[in-house]
Amino acid sequence: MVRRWHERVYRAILRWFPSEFRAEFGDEMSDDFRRQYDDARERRGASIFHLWTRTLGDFARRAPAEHLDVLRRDATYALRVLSRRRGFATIAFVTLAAGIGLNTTVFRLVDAILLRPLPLPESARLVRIHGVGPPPLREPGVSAPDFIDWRNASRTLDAAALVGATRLTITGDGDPEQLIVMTVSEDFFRALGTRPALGRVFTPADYQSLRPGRTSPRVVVLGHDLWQRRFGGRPDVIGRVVRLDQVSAEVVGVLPPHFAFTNIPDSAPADCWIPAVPDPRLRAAHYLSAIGRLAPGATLADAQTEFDVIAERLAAKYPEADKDRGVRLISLRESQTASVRTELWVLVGAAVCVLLIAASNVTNLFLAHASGRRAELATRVALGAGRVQLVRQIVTESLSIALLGGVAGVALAAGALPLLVSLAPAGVPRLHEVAVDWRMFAFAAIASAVVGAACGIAVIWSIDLAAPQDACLRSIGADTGHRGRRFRRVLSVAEIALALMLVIATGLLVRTLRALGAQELGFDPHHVISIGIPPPNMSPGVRIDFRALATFESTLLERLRAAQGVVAAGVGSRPLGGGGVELDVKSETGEVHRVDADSVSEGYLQALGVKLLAGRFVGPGDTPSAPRVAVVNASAARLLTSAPDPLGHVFRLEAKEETRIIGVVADTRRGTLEEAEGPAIYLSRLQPIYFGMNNMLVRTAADPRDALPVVRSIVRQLDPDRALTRVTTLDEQIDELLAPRRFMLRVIGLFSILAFALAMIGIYGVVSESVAQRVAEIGIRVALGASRAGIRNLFVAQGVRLAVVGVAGGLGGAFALRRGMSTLVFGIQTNDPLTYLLAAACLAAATIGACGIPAMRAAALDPVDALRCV
Amino acid sequence: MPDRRPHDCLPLTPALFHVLLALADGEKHGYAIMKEIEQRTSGKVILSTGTLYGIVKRLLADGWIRESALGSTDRRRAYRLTPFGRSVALAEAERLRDLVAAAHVKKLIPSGA
Repeated sequence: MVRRWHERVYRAILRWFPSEFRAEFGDEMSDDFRRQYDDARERRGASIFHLWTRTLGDFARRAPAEHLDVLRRDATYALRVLSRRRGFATIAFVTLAAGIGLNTTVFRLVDAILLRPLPLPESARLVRIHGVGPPPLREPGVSAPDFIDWRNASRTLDAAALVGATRLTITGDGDPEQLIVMTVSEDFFRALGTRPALGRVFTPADYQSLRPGRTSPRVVVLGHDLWQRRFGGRPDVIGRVVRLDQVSAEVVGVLPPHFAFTNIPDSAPADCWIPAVPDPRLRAAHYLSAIGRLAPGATLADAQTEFDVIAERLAAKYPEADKDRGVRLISLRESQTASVRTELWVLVGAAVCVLLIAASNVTNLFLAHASGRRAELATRVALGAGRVQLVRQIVTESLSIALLGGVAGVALAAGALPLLVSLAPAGVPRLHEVAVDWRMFAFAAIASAVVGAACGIAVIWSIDLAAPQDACLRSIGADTGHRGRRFRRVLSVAEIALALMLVIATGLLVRTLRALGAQELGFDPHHVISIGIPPPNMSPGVRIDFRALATFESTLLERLRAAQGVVAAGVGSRPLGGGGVELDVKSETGEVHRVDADSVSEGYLQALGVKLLAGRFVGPGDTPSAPRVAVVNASAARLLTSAPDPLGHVFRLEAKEETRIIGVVADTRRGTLEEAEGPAIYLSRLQPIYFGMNNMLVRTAADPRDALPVVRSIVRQLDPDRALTRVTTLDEQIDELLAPRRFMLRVIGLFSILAFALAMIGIYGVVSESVAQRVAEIGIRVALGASRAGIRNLFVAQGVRLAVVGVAGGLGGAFALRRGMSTLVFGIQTNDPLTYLLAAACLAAATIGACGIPAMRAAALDPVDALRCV
Repeated sequence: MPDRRPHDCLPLTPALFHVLLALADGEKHGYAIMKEIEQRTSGKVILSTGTLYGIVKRLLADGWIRESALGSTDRRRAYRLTPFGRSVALAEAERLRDLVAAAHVKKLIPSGA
């Protein structure tokens, strides 16, 4: 029969209905429609049009309703099946809730920190411009003259700004306080596209009267935090004059909260912003940062190509300053979050491992469950259920559980996320942007759908619905068939392997923390408090009154040493704060070496607890009129002289002043905990070479925090405009340095415990199931004279096989992925054999143990009972 | 379904009641049901195929109607009321009658109308 076009169209839109519905009523419906159509044609007029609109409207309403109906029926059935096996359903639900919850949490963390655009207008166009120095000195800084040349030459950037950081002390309105101040060139706020929360940002007029390279601000923009903290969030702060390093500056604006650009490398978040004009001299001073906004249509690659050319030109023009120096542009978002990228991706990897284990476990459970239902499924096939329906039924079951798990997972994640954020170490960027939002729901929905569908498909694949008749016969033995058994073993092996990888990661972190804790610091951090005492005016260009400074320091130290409980006190650089200043020194033989130099007062090295190897510390007699002296560390001593006793030998500072070595001390960690110490020299603070290190160390007999009020009151008496900054005990400082790894250890450790437990539950389940399936066989074996030990060993051997393959896989996987851990691990190799071995032994033992319980149960079976099951 | 009472199924949707009414005087196939409803209501109620067969599916599943081979020459099936379906239709008709009676008492409908 040739169908007319309207029938064909009707047939086509019938496809909107579920297939079952179509199979049941499709023919009748098209038949009836044909008659309606014929009727309508006889009536003429708009009848045909009305028929179509009516039918289409009807279909649009009814088809979705019919689909929902099918879904409801399947889900009801699934839930009924699941509620009948409550234990099974609960375990599957809890497992998936944990897996999905964990992944949702980690997803949101990664999403908010690494993936979301920065909260700035069109932030995808923002770039950071890094200078790239020749190895080994790969300073990422930018010099002001280079920046000026880049800005003038670039066509791919819409705007570019030079950024620096300095510290200024604010006085008046309460206690003096040292602020971290960002010095920004003219286009800074325009490039970022930031609008102030209050007042205005800088205008070109603010820059006109400034001298290049000077930071004596007449105007200042406050950060939101500073505004709240120091000015109580009062709006009348605009127009107010504040004193910054004794210079008056007018507050012209306040930035919005959580301004996305407060950090420049190696500096704490800025408190306020002041205008600064780049200094066109000092081309070799590569210490500033630069940002830019790409012109509309320009890509990062375009800009990089352009900057490569510009950098080459500059290197040729100024070989002394810019030889071998290049420029690298990276997106601002990437640059702002680079410090945590590896850690976050490791977390993602760990979370995915847990999810995979959870999914394997649930698939395993479903398979065990399906094997029990083989008879039911076979019966349904025999009663005319199509394969499609069965498949849909099984997938609906696994999807129902997965979606329930997903709902619980989101709830779990919503609870865990704030907890994770509150535990996160200081300095993680964009942490305030991490909040529960709809993306978590979307992610959990997708994750549970994928996991649910995957479990369902795995079950269908392994129970092989192709041969229902077979199934009917075999159902007596309640067996998932060969394919199912093998698949379940593969899943168990994968679980062991994944869990092992996580346990190895945890082991590496534990050993790293131990290695860092056992690190020889070269000083004694206990009972020491570190207090910053910046002089009232440190702006470059402002002459420092060294005599007043020296008097202030010596009086302060003198009074402090007289206080009760103070063992030693001195001024120098901040321990573990990056050390002092790099200086070139010339040894007796004329070689020039770069050393780390620090200018310290009497008592500083004693307060730090540095071990004196020879000679003496810096003393009160090392005054400007006395000969220049230095205490050197062991590395510097080896470098500067070949004589066995370095005392009394001389070297020249910056090839000028002759300086005599009066003492040798042990090497100390000055920068980070990881980095080994290089050559360092300690000069006397009284002999005029001033590096701007203004950190006081106080060693006490008891709690070092008790010294703080004493220091505060003495400083207030001596100079009320002095601010105390960065007050911390050295123990706290070390804790802070360990915090990121400790956090990772906690999280990864939690993940690996979860993974371990899930894997063991999974193994236990597989072996138990295998015992249950082989009850009859066991009965026959025992009846035929098999010993109980023999039966037990049968199942233990199964566990051993799983363990061996799983452990091998896990070791291989961990070895292959070890590079991901390389930035986290310290003091050991990422392929540390001991860690691998211990973790493997631990997992293997647990696996065999998990098999042992069902194996004992098998061995204890009464053969008479067992044979009854046949 | 012996436990169910016709009254528990009330009220019915108008479309569903129309289908039951159409089958009250004998078995019909789908097209005839649509046609009967359209004529009886003078074109005020017109069921489309999707709605009709959605209702048919539900009525079959709930056991209110059952199939009977009418003519049995083609693939078209006819449907007739089961005793239970008939009692539900009756219950709905009574419910509506009582409502109309109430409207009379309240003089909402003028007497004699």
